[in-house]
Amino acid sequence: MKINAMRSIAFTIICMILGILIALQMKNVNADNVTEQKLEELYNNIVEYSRKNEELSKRNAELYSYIELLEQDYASGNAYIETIIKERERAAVFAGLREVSNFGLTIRISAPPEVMVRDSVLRQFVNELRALGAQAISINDERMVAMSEIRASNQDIIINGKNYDRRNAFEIKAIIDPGKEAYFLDYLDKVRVSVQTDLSADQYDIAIQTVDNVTIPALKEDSIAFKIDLLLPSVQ
Amino acid sequence: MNDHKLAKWLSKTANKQKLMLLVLFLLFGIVVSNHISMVQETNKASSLVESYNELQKELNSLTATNEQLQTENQELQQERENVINTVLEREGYDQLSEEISRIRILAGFTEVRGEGVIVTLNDKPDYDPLRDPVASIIHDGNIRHVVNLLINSGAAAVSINGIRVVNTSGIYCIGPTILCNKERMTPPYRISALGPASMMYNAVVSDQVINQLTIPEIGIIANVEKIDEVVIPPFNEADNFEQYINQLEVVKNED
Repeated sequence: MKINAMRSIAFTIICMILGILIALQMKNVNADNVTEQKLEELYNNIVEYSRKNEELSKRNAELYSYIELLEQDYASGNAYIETIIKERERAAVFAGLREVSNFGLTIRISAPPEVMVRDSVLRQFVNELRALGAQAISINDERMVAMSEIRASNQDIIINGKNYDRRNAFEIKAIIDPGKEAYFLDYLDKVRVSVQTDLSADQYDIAIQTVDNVTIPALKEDSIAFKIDLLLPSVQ
Repeated sequence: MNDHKLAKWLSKTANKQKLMLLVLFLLFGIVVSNHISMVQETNKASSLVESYNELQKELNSLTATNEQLQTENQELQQERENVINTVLEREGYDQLSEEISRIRILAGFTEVRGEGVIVTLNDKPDYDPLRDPVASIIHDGNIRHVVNLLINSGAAAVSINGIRVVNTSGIYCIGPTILCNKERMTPPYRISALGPASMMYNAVVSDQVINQLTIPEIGIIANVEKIDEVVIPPFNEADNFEQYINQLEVVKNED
């Protein structure tokens, strides 16, 4: 009887030790999954979040000050209306509701008369310009906003609800930071080469040049590109 | 006779126990030797794990702070709007107040909601770079393609993984990372669009490019669903947009 009890205890102890050792081994296996690359990725995330948080803290502090200023101005009868109108104007500029001008560039895309310009080429240049940091963009003087359509339909390309003949040249204009001129030109030239190579049968002629003063028209609030009727009733 | 059976049974049991002990000790021996041989590697790996865990803790704390700051930012923006509207309405500038609200909606500075669709794109499950084609993972071009389909089908507002697409938004990749509004995005990509749900739905389900991506050889996951009330969040830099228009000089003021 005593021997049996001893054996049971021995079994239990051995099984426990075995369990602990297996758990340790599993931990080692998990440790193997941690690589230098994952560590670097994590570190990059930390740097990015630190930067974001610093920027957000600053923005929040500015918002506090702005609200305070508005309240103070209002209480003292000062120029709060001017502050509000100024803010409205900047929001309108961002929204694309104001005609704007400054240093920029033009991209002229044309093809032989028998070739119709593809909508995808226009979309590609617009996306690249946005990714590079262009501040205002137009195609054939149609202001590009977030929901502007660039869609081929038979012989036309429809932009902001208006038809443009695909057999004619298209002109993209963009306002850019003059300090980034070389960066823009270098990158857009690569896009030009890529388009001309990939679609060599179309024989596109693509001319990119900077312009001291480019003017980009505004888009009206009732433009199809804004779809204000869908946005207004649904605002929170 | 009975004593003999009992003795036989006891002997059998003792043999079984011995066998079990043998197996256990064998296992024990293997595990211990394996463990010892891994000690060196473990030391290196555990220092990596330690660093990883510490960094992960730091990142968790930073993301929590970020969420708090974002919430605070949204509340402050709301407060600013309330103050502006109250002041303007109290002073009889109702029209200006309405105009500001409308401009902010058109700029993408407000949350909007209504009928729409959500398109979800994801890499092929268990994607293996050695076996699967490069098309089996989602690229920036795939996301742009879906966004264009939705815009061309009447979308009034679009967001990707909660990031609002605004006038200055480009969707592009830097290395393996896809960015929108300078924010990193990771799969699955949820593209939400407010607008005519049926038109947008049909445009996506009948699109040849998307259908081609979902064939078993490529294996991209693409789902589209109609939603009664899709929520499109505001542009998260609605209080910090000057950097995107600082080169723009207004030619003709509307006033």
